[in-house]
Amino acid sequence: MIESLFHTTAMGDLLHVVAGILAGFLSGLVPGVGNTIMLFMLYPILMDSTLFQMLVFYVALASVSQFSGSVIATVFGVPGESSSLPAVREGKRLYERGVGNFAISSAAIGSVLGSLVSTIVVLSLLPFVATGIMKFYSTNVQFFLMWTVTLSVCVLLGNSWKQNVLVFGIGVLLSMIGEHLMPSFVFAKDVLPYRQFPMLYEGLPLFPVVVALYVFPTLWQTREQFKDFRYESTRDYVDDASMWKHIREWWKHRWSTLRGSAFGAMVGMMPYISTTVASNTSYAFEKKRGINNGTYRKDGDMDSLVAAETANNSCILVQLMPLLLLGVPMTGAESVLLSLIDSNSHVLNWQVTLEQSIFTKLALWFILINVAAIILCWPMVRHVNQLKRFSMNQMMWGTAIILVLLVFYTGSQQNATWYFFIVMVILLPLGYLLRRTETLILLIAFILQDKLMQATVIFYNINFG
Amino acid sequence: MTLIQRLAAIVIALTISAMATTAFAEKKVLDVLVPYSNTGNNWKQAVMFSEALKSKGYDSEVVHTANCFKNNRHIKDSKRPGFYFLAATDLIVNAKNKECMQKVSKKTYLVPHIYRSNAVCVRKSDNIGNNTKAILAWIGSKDRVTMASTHMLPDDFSELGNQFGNTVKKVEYKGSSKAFKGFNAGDTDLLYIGYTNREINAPNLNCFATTDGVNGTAKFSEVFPGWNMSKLVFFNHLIGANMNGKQKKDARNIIIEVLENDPKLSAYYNNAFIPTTAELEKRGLGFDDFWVDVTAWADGSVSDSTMKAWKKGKLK
Repeated sequence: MIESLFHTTAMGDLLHVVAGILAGFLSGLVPGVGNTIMLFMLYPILMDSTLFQMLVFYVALASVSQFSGSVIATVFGVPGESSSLPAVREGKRLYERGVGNFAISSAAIGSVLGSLVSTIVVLSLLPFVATGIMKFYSTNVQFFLMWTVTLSVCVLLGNSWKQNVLVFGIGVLLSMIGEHLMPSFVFAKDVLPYRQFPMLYEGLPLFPVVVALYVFPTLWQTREQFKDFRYESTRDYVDDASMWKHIREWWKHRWSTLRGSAFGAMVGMMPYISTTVASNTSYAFEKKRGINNGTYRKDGDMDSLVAAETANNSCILVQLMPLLLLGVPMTGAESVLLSLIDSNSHVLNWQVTLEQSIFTKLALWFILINVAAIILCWPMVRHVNQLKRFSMNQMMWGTAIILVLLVFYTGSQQNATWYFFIVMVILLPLGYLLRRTETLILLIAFILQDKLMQATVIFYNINFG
Repeated sequence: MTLIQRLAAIVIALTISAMATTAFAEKKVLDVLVPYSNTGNNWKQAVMFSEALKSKGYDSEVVHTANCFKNNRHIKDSKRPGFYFLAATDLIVNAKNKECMQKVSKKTYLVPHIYRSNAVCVRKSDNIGNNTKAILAWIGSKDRVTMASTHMLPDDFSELGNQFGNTVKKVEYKGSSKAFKGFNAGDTDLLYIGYTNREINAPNLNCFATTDGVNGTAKFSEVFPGWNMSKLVFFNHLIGANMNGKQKKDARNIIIEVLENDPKLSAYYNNAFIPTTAELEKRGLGFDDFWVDVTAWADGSVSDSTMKAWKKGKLK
């Protein structure tokens, strides 16, 4: 009954939004988890969802995680993601100054305005972008886009491009295992034991690969990063100001909000680094401006914080455009979303997006989600002190255990429990070896390999074959 | 009546009533498996079949098994009766290239499904005109001609180049829908595809020739006389899974019924001049013709012993 309610259209959409908001809130609170891992953890509830429900769930998750991420960055000085660094720097100082509650509220209210600005930008651009795509979206264009994304990933992320290329190559090789339709072949037929283990023909399943080669190294990295972590502040989070006072406080920083929104909307198209670039660039600009004007406060600058956090949120809808129109993901979490959409046998391209008015509906939901996020999550912020009860280690272990259980669950759903488990166990040592690399690149390669290969083969056949 | 007798009577009555309700409510199950992409004609037909079956009171799901291996495993793991589409070319490509065997025996074979013409199309926006001669001259004027198609055809179209004295290059796509979209976006010069409503109604498409010359188009055998593909029609069959004899009989009847009477399904086939099961059975086509088609398509490249093994559902 509940399940059917969750997946029927109108009520289902609303429930997906609420689930996405709660998931996003949790995702931002637990360091190292992030949206990519959270999406995997909640995949079982998305197994029967419609395309739009999956998308609206993701928008809520991505948007609200920025909000809760800035809460723990401000209160505990813990960066959820690289885009939270300005919140750690300024938010922490503001918190120690005793205005942490206003720092959080101004960033949150600013984000709502940011969502409005990016919605206007997206809806104004959509007709032009759609017309362009309809005219020019050939295999040659697709080939160029796919390789641009691949090269961007290898150049922009991680420590060294050589290491990235190696990690990308490993992801591609793992993804090649099994049979392929386009072109039609079985990878390393004489080397891999397909006859003995016929399930290998179907390729390595996504879930165990992700747990072994992305989640495990990520949690390991986070554990090393926070091994000496102690909750710095002895001060408990307290907020006895009225809502009206919070709004008045934010009003003082309205121009920073607008500048941050504009930054976010402009850089949202940068593959895989848009939120980091948006928040850090917006922060640097606002800080420089404050120093020049003599308004920057070294004990915590609210303008810089608000601009950075607003830019973060403003990015989200803009960076969805390439995914919805071209099927090209712009973030790690979007790559995962795309693979889950494929797993659910949905098709995502500009025709589907335009025919079903997905973008317009998502844009409207995006604003509502941001408003609802404040209403739903605001009361929960008061309980943020409860997080001190859990150590980082406990959170890491909790996440890891849930994901291992999910490997069993997803395996059992496909009548392949042991296959899933064995693949995870066999790949874990590789995950350990790769723990100091950017394994998001491996994940992206694993997910995009099939599309990349198709585009490359067709491009070659059209032009040279 | 003692209290115990009364209670026993109530329990028996409730049990009988519950059993009757369950039996009454139990729906017939018939899933549609799709071991292909979820964007092309197979997917589209599967969805229409499933909806038509539901409208007749069946419990029917579309299961996207995506490929031959997953399809075989689904059939093995699931207890639900179902069927999937299979053409001779699919069986050959899966068995030869991927070592995946689809069991087509009298036990699994359900009915012939459709007999559809294939088409060769050009884009109207290329301004070649409607005249078939002009189109053929345009093809002949090029040194290299690219033709979009799907990956499931065991032919590389190179033979067609002999007619025009040039090179004809087949460009494979994963599914007819992708080939269709790629062609419309200007990827290739020609499109070789199943002749369906989509192709008939596409505003920028001129499918000037088809296998059987349907809908006023030229016949392949007239415009491409030396081409081994000129006689190829898309002869599809439905293969059953997890069915006993009674279920097979029931499935056959309901399939014929929905193909003829379901508004969406009948429009889909009739508007594209595609004969379906009842008509094909009238023509005497069935199980044996599937294997005749496989032998014809294998074109001597498969040994007799391998063919015998395939008929038994084994690779070699």
